[in-house]
Amino acid sequence: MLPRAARDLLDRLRVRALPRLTGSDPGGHRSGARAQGLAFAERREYLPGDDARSIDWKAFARTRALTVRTFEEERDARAYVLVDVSRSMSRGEPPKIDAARGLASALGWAATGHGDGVRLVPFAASAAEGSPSYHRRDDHPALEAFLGALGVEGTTSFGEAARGFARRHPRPGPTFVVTDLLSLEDWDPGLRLLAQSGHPATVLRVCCVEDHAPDFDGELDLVDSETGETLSITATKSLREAYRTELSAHVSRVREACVRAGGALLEVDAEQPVDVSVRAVLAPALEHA
Amino acid sequence: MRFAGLGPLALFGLALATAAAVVALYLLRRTPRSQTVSNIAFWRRAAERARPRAPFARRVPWIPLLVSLVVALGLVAELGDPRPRGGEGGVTVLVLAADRTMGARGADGRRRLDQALAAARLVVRAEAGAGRVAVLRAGVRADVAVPLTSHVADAERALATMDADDGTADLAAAVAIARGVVRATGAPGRVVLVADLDVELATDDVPVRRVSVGSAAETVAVTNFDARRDPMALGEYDVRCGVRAYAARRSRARLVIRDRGTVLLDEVLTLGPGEAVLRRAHGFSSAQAELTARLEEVQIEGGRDALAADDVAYAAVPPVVATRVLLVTRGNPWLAGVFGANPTVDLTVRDPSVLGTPAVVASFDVLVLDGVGASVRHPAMMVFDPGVGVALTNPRITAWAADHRVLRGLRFDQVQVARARALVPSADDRVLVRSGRDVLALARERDGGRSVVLGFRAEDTDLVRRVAFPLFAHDALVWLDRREREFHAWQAPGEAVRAAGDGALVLDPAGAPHSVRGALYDAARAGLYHTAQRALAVSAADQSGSLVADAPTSPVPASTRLGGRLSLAQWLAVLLLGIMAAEWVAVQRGRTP
Repeated sequence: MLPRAARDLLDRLRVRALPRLTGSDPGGHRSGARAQGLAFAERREYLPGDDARSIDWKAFARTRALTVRTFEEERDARAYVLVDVSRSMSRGEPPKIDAARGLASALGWAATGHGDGVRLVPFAASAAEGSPSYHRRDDHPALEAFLGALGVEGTTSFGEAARGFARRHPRPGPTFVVTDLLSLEDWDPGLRLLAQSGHPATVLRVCCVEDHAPDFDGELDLVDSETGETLSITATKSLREAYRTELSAHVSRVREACVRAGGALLEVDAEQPVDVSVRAVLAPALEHA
Repeated sequence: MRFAGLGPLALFGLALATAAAVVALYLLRRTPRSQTVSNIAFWRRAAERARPRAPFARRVPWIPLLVSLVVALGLVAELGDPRPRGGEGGVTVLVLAADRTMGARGADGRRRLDQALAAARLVVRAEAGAGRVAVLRAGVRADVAVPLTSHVADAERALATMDADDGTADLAAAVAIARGVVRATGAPGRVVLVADLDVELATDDVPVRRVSVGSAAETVAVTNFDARRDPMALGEYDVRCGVRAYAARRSRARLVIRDRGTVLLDEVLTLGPGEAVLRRAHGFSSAQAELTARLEEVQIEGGRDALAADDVAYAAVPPVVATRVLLVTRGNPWLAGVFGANPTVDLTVRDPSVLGTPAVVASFDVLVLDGVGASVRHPAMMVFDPGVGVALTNPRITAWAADHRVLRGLRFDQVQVARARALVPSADDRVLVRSGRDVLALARERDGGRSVVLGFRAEDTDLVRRVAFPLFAHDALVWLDRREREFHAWQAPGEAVRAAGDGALVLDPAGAPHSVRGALYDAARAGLYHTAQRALAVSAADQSGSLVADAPTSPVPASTRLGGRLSLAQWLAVLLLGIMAAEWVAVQRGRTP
């Protein structure tokens, strides 16, 4: 599922996690918590009660003032990858769900390589239970097996899915939402809810040609891949233009909502190989280990 | 441009109805295909945003609609029979030569008639578009093939079935008829003569435009073919056949003369340029002879025989039928001898005192009265010395009617007459022999009967001792018995083929039966026709040949040299089909489910 080139690239990257989103176990992310650690945080005046072992004697020898060195505790992070498995993800050539699986796999690889945990949560009309938390590279085959077993079903309801996800997963952590974004609902409440519950979301929009540049022409009965509804249209150039305008406006709204919620919106072409998508889109969203 | 098929109102109405129908079909037409998309919500919004304000606009694909409208209106226009305004307008009568020489083939293998028909079609298309046109077929008879019309289709149908006759055409007469047609309409007009020969025409207020077809051709032809029975040899007949080469080089042909299946002559002829030969043959049959002279295996050095129709000629010899003659005389060895020696005569000699009842007399074909007056009546009588009139002594014959059938081939200037009576002719009598102002012999046709009256007795003239007397007696009997027609071995195409009685059947040369009343007037084909009583030959052997060899006056004018090109309507149809194909490629491509 994940090519070797993508793995090599991801070996040097890790999921970016804000200190407040770190976990309790030791890890590679700065947590903001002062403690015995390896990451030097600051030097300050000694106060009664401070651990005498933290007094910086060399500084005392130079300045004749008691100072202590404080260190930041490095903790792990748990990343969440919400994968859209609604029926619309089956569209495209190859299907968008394949690209979504690849991206989730890449995120899992990046997370497990540096001691972070990752959980995969499929969603459509609501969020499912999700996968176990994967922490080690040895878990990656199981992660990919989980992804491979995902089938597309149902309609997209991101707001409902976000509520369910926040309820089930109270532990904060960086969250990635892999979706085609093709639900006309207002995504802002869902994204805000995620941010408030400690899951600021980076939305990875997987799109295919049929979605962003349809070339339909003539008399058509459009069939909704999720609901089966039909819509009779005469596809003309002006109609196609109006469709693209509508879609762009929707994506823009979601992008703004993402930014407001402390996240971002990245766009991935489903027709591109996954290693290209990782290099071009995903890598800039991660941080160097 | 004008439309000959429909009037302006009808055309406009049809166009309007067609356009309405096409628009309605496009409004109703919807053959969508199914297309699955990820989510139709965006499409729904886009459709609402892009919905046009104009009625119907959302459902009507404008380009196909416009293309279909153009095609439909174009087809309507084609129904209206569009014509360019290339004609001269008014009335045009087309005289199309359809005689024997029109069957001659040129170097390209096309008959002159085919060229003429092609030229005629062009004239018809042009002139019917601008006015009215009629077609006069100048075969052995001139008849109207297409009455005045502005519908090209009518004229083209008639032209499609037109063929050439085997006889000759009187083009001058046909043109005169055509001029009469133009004049009768009272409209300005003209005559267009399409022919392979030049013809001298009188100056007239109706102009004649000539369109010449064909080119000079070489042929070997039977130029005459005749046959007749030998009056002096029962059952025998003589055949005479003339053949001529109308070629600039030597030619060769095999002449075969047959009486039904019996070959009378089979000879290979080698002819120099323009050479003519005459061949004789003899046949023997008391029954009717049906003769055919045919040139076979015709070869012309460096050329070809252009006209096949002049390679054959026909003749018929009537069967031997005896004429029953009643000679009433008190004794005349000359008359008894001349009639008795004629093998075609069944002679009965009676004394006036035992003449018999009128019914007995009427049973004879010819009654000959010799010096017994003319008290007895008979439809066919020959009277010697009727016993009335001024007596003449040694009258000298000064004139005779050599063109009459009775005196054909005879001379009377040496004939001596000792005594005679001057006859008194009536208005419908034909004087046969005259002595100054005195009439010595006359032929009379009155009340359906015929008689030959001579004002002298046989013993009072040396006529009876002359060698021509048997011929005179024979020809007189033939004329009196009305059998002169039977001695014609053939007749020209176009002459009526007579058959006795109403509803009589005449079989044409192809064997097709025709029920006729008195005669078949449509005998334009050469060949042997058969009635219940006899066969009759229709032949044009003495009239053709040189006509084919003559060069036409001019080629087909440029204005009519358009044979084989498409008409305007056909161009329009091709254009419409092209538009339909373009519409399919440009608009409908890839839209098929």
